[in-house]
Amino acid sequence: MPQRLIGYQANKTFIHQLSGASKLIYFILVSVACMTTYDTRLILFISLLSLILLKIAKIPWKNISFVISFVTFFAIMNVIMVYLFAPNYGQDIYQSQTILLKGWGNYNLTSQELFYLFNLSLKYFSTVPLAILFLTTTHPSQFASSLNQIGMPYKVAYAISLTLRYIPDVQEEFYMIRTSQEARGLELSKKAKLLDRIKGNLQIIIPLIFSSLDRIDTVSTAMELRRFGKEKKRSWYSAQPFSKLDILTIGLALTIVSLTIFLFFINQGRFYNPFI
Amino acid sequence: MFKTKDLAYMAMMTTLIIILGFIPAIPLGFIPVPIVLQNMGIMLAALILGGRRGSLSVLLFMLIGFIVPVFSGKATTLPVFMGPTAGYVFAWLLVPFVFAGLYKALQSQNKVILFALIWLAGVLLVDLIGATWMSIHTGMPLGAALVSNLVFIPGDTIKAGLATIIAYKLRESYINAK
Repeated sequence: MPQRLIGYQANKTFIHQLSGASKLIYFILVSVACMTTYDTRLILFISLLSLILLKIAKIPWKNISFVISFVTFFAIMNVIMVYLFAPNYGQDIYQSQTILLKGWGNYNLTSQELFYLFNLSLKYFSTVPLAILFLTTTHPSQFASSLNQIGMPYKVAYAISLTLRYIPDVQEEFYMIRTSQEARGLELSKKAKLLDRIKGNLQIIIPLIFSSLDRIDTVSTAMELRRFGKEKKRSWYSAQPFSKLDILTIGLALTIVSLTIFLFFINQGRFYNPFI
Repeated sequence: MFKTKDLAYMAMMTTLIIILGFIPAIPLGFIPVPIVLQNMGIMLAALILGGRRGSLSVLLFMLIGFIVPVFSGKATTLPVFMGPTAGYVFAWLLVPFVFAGLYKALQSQNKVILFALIWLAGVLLVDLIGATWMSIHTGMPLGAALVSNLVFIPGDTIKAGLATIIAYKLRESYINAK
């Protein structure tokens, strides 16, 4: 603690200049398409496109390497888990079997299983760069207006803005409470006994929860005094109308979705099968 | 549809769920999985906000998770939903509604009964749905998945107890509203 989330990086690239709404639409549509299909050619295309966009946005590697490392670890764990519990899944999907390495019992290593796990891994490296892109190139003030622009009620959109705004405050509160308790003799590291550590974490969490919820009255009263919620619609200081580039971005997203649907028919299913 | 205060509550509860995910897991010596605190946030959402506001807080958490790595282990929503643990996360959406339904049916202020209700909704239901999805996703036999989920029960039970105590002390909790 305190955790540092990926944050906005001001820059002048064309991705920064896109409206938050069009980036959000692109991100959601392409992520869903990528999550749905198992056509390797399309996933590869989306991966390369994502990495190229990441390059264009000029995000310094050191700002995102921490999260990339964790996501990579997560992806590896997922792949290992699928293999351990379903070593024959690839054979079932692709209706053939090419044994590369004879294993004990069901644990033969086959081309089909490897191909399936490759597709699974590739999905991570298509969607995670897009999430990083959206987060680092969109000013936080635009998150709520983007959501409202694509049809979400402005109160719900504003709740998201509120949450994002609360995160650093509550993190700071957590850090302050922990430091105060440690100054009063609380020991939280591995040196302490188990029960002491549970009790110690409790002594941080309880004041954190109560002090956070105490804020509600102040925040909501202040919002109401500024006439929040009185009208059916509202204007946004940070809203940005669509430009030609935004329309092209949305067009590209729709094209990728259409391609996904088209490939369902070509492949007669979600899977592209190079083994037949 | 919501009062401003409800919005502020839901946003703060979502933030607490996120922050609890940042706190490092506490390893227990005698069971193989450490206690992560994030799902205690889900139980608190049910106890403090009730069915509709609680589930919306969890939904808000998942929406924000699309763009911010808020899940334990710094994961975002999409990888989690594509992975073996998607069942647990989906079940988190149901916890506040199920708890509120049980609570309305029983109308009890008794601490032990409240603990039993949040245990059923927040521990048993989540582990059952999580095990079922893990079984489907990985091809693991359902029986083996259910048995392997027993390792989560002690830690989750402790969390349910703590969540009940915390919510009981908070005057504005859903379970204290009269």
